[in-house]
Amino acid sequence: MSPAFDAEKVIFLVEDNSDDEALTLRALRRHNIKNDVVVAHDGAEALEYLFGTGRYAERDTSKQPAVVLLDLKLPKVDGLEVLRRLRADERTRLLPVVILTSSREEQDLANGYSLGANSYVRKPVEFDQFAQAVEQLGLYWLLLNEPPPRTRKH
Amino acid sequence: MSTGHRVPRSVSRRILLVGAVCTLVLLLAMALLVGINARLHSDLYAATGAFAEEQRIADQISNAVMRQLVIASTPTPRRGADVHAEFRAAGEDAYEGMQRYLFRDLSADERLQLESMKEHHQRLEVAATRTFNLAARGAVGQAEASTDLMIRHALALQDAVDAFLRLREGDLERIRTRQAAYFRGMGVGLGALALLLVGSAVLLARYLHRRLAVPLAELSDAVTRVGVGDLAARAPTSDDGEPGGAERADELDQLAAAFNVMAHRIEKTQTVLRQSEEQFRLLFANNPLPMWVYDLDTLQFVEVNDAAVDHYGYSRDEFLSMRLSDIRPPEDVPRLVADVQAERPALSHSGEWRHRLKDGRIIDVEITSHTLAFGGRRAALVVAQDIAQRKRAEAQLHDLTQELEQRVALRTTELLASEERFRSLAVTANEGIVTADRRGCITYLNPAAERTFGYSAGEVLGQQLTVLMPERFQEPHRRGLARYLATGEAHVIGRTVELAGRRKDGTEFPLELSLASWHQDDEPAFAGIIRDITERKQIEEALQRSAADLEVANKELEAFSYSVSHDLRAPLRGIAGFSQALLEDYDDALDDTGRDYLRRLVAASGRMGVLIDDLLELSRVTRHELQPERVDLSALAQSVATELCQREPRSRVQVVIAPGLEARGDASLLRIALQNLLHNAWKFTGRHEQASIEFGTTERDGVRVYFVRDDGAGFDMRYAEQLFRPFHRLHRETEFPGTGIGLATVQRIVHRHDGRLWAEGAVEQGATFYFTLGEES
Repeated sequence: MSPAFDAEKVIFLVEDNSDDEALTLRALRRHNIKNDVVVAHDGAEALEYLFGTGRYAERDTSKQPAVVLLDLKLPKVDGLEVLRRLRADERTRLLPVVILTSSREEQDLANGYSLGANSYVRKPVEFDQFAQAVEQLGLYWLLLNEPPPRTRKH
Repeated sequence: MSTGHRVPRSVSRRILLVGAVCTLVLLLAMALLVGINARLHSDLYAATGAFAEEQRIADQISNAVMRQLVIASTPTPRRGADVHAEFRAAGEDAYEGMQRYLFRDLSADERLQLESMKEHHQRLEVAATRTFNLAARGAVGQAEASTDLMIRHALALQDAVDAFLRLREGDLERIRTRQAAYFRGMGVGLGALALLLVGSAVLLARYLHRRLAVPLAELSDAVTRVGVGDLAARAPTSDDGEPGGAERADELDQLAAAFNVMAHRIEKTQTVLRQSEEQFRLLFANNPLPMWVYDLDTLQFVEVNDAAVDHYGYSRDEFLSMRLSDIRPPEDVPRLVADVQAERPALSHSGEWRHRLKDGRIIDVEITSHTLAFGGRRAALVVAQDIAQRKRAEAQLHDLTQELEQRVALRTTELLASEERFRSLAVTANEGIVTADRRGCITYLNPAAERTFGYSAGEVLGQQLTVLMPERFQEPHRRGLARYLATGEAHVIGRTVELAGRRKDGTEFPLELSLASWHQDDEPAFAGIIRDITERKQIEEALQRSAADLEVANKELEAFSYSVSHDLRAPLRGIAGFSQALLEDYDDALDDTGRDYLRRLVAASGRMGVLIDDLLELSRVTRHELQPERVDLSALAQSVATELCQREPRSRVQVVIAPGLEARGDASLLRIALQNLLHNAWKFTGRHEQASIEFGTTERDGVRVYFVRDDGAGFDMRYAEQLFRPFHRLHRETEFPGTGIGLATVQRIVHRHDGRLWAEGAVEQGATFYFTLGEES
């Protein structure tokens, strides 16, 4: 879409549903968002990636994604728990996290915001809307939003 | 002295102090004068003495030298041994005089002159001795020559003596000058002393005037004024106004202050006395009881108060011209005279009398009197109390007592009847009734209680109440009864409690007990009304169980809703998403029919998404916990309408919202209700050229009714019932899209607010949805 995208900025998608994953990736591609999209399929994997443990022990955690798109209903560790752990850790305390979920339960909204989610976006059923939402998210978090100052390494 | 009382500085001490200071100054001045005098005087005296002596010494020296000169001048032949001796004697005289000068206070010049004198004298002696020796040997020529030398020496000596004495003359002159200065000094000193004396005298006089004479005059003035009755007069004290006056307080100030205190007390006492007199006068004059004073000897009234004038009808002047016997009926006068003449104590209650008023009425009074001296006469102060009312009261009391006796008799009859009624009531009652005495022994058991407990009355009468209780209640019952009898403190009496009872067969059952206590023949007694609540308990338990079941069901429903919300939508999104992807990415590979199918797939999954959302909303409305508050419905409706305009813009729709509509309710639920109603109105007016939508309020049967009215498609009133059923629709999807859940949701919200929802309408003539919110009108 626009060359102003910083290709180094990585989008981190946490999504267990392969349909949603495919649709999200397609929507991003169709809107010329060429940034790397890293996908984790459950909460545990997401945490390993972000904290550089387990399978991602080799990863340089000083480079964190520009935005985390986080589903709530996840196997192993659910989305709210992932968010809670991110906010409790100095390295990821300020990491932009957008909750991207089917649920519109008030309880999930309240929990998400009180745990420090930057945004809460509901996946619409209609694909157009869904694609629009993904596009706007990409635009906003990759182009408009100024990321937090890089946190110190311990 | 630690009393803190101010110690006055005494006037006498001050006068003494001032006197002493003056005297001291005078003494010092005199001592100074005397000292100076003495000093000068002694100087002068010494000088004068020395002067006289010096005069003698000088004379001695001068004479001796003169004699020597005369002898030296005598012709040589006459100079024999006797002349020589005379010359030598004169020489010794002169020398002795010179020696005496040695002990005098001489200046350096004078001392030098003295030495020179002595030298000349020595030379004269040597020359003389040689001359006389030559003369004695007869060497006349040589003697003549020597005599000349001698004479020259003698003359020189005389000059030296003269010079010395002239020097001494100067000293004497100085002494005389000093003497004159001394006399002048004496004069000035004496003058100053005289001035000092006069000054001290004036100072002392002024001080005494200010400190003694003036305050005394003021004090005397104040005393005179108080003496002639000006009680406000006060002597000025140094405390008045002057800063630091208090510290200068002395005996006179104290005297003035003491006088002021006395004057103040006298003034106060006078005031109190006046007030007290006034009070006593008022006590008599304004006493509500008629009072008077009469002369014991003449029976003449001498003083009478307002109450007497008021009560008896005579004016004050009439009273004072009458005698005590004038207000009695004539037949009572002898008794009065006898009573007055009898010896009486100072205070006496003379009992009941009859008095005659001015208008001739006779009243009964009770008299209390007190003898006293009034203006020098033997008199009595009388208080007359009209006892007509008391007499009436006594009569009334008598009547009342009789009436009471009659009533008691009547009531006793009634009570007997009442007891009969109670008994028949107890016999027919459905509730068990058990009575017991103070020991807890059963005194009565009604048929219902017999049925409940399985005992016949005869079996348990006289037995302890505990036979009707399970073991675990027996001890608490005994303790409670003992406590109530000891302290009157009741825990159960007057209340209804749930306990358990024991039937004759030993089975236990739950019961409700209402316990009352009363006194029978001064002994406490108890009555219990007993209801077997076995059945009610069973119902309660069943209710509790269903409540718990309901709770579980609700929890499950919640979990289900959550799953629906999340899981049911995910596959739908997949269907819609990939269909769309097919349409977009493989457009070329599809023919029109294929594209149509895919579009239908997308549309159908979209509708299902909306259906799921609506269903979830309906479920949320049911589960949502109500949070009632004041809600501005007008503002809410306005905000919903604005939202609609933005989402589905349409021209020629007029939305009228009545201002200032407020209600108590849950804001989020009421918003959903208004959203659905206004959205419906919006939707069903969509096919009309012009539309008008109104939100307002009206009143039906005194209840406030809100309404949302539109002039759209309307509906057939025959199907009005179906409007609010979930999934029921009166229009085809292609006509007006929708899920048929919106109005069901509104109805549930209105019901949750204890309100009512109904609709009125006609086909193509619009619809009006009314609702109430269960508010008190």
